[in-house]
Amino acid sequence: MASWPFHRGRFLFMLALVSISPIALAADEVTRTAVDTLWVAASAALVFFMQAGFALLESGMARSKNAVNVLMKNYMDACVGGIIFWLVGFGLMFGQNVSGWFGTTLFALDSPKPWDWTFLLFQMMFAATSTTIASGAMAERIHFRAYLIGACVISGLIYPVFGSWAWGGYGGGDGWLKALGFIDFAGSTVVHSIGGWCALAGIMVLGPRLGRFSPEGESRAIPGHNLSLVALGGFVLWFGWFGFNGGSTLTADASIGKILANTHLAACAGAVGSALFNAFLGRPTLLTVTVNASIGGLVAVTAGCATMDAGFAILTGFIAGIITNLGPRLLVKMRLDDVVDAVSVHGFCGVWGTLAAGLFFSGDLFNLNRIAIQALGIGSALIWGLGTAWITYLLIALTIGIRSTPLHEQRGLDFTEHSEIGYPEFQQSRTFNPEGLHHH
Amino acid sequence: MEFEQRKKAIEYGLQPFLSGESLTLALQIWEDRYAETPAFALQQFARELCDSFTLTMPRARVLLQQSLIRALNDLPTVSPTASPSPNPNPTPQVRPEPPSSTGDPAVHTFTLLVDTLTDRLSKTDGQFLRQYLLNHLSTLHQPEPAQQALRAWLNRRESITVSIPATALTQLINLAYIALCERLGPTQADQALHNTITRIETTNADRRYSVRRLL
Repeated sequence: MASWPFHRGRFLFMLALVSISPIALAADEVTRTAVDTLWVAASAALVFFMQAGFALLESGMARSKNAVNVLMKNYMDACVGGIIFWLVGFGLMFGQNVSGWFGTTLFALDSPKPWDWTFLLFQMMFAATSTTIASGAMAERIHFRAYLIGACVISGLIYPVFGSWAWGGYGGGDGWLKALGFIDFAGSTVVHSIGGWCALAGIMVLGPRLGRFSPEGESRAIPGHNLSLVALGGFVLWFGWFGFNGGSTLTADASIGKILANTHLAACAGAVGSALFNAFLGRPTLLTVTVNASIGGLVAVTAGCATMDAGFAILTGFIAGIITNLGPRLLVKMRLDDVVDAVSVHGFCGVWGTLAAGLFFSGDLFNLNRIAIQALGIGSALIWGLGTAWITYLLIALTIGIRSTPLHEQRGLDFTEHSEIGYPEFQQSRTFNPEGLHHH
Repeated sequence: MEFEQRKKAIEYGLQPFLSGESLTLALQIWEDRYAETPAFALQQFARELCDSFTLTMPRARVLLQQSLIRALNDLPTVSPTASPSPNPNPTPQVRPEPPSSTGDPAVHTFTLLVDTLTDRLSKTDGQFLRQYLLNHLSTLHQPEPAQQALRAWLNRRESITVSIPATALTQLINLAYIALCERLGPTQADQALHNTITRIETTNADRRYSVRRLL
């Protein structure tokens, strides 16, 4: 028979174990939340950095007399879009979604739970990304204020409503597309195609820049003023995309490695696909096209980066690289002037990527039912995004005006919209009266 | 281009090589056989003159042909009394100041800008630009005398004798820019306008009216 002290020791040990376990579990949960928060918040910062990438890429592709205007649009759409998304967009997208068509709670969150803060921050950055896609397409001929009003509508209505269909349900309920099983992990359609369709609507309403097409319909290239900025913008976007796709796990788990590896592979494959495609056709490998092709690869893999194997991620990116070459030709044939090829890169590649996510779903390849649901999501995004954005820009055009005057196009929007220029010491084509510049 | 203008240009182009009765006879040949022919027929005209007048200087036919083409292209600046050298500097120059009887410095600067811009273009592009401005004059909503003066200047290079508001002149320059965008494309339009402005600024630093005020 064992002695009492021995029994007493065992008893106390068991008592301690029983009493400590909930504490240990709770501590583990706190750590878990902290790590998740850290990962998602850091990812949000990376996604925000993509705004810088867009700004660099788009301003580099514009003429020097419009560089400041492009930068300002990228800067300000994140600002006004952020507030509008907090005010109404987040609620529409993630509030309680009883109908499946839009959320009805979580508007203007004032003091939510800690995780809600994190989630709101991450989603605000996504909204900013979707909104800013249109800016480059419409560069060099849109009024600044008209653009910002459009940005508010995208952030506050167009993007979040479609988002609620595909991702809704954070506050309860489900979006109708989500309920059907629509796959769009980080937003090939939700973020990029919607942004691309808004851009398409914008350029349809705006019309081409002066002289972009000859009276006979011949296309004239208008080269950007700084290819170094374009390349740097491409690198920054690529870097930020690791947060865009990686953070979409909303948790710091082992799946991040696969997601980021697929993301990177698709971007590489996009650039390689474009280069090989052009080599096959005997065309030069242009920097702007190559950078856009890698971004096209990133856009395309965004939907399926968590659910496809590496080989398919490469194939998805490769085909996206080819699409970024063919898309602009289609638009030119339609006499649509997309300054940075945003419609092709985000719209068309978003379509392909969403389809690819259905085609190449790991463990269940080429499931026709899934592909049909993906196609339904793609089609509904096109109708909603293009339709509402077209109405929005048309209303802006009919009320406050959207198109800059030919005189403003001559002078450059840096001067006419902001009263300053990007390169005061050595800017070429200063075809305005510098007395009108703002002097600090 | 009017017949008399072309005849003046041909006379100007012939002056370095012929004079007196030879010049008159050469002009008569041009009038009879080449006045209505395309520009490339000048090659045949030059050959005929070299044969008829036994021009013996080296490369006479080539130089004569070049002189004629240059004279036709530079038609607005041609003065029959001028005596160009047989091999003038082909670099385009800023147009000499046109006569301005209004004394309106804004109009003066405006005509200088458009003329310099036109001179830097090919003949057909320059004609397109002037025609484009003519077609869009009514959009300026200027009083009839101003429109007439602008029309006469664009058609016949007559001096503008009325004052025109600077805002209208700015609009006209913008119309010229639009014409260039349509004709040449936006990049070349930007370059052409910028280079013209720079040229005027650097070669006419003492102007009473800065060209920038019209932009």
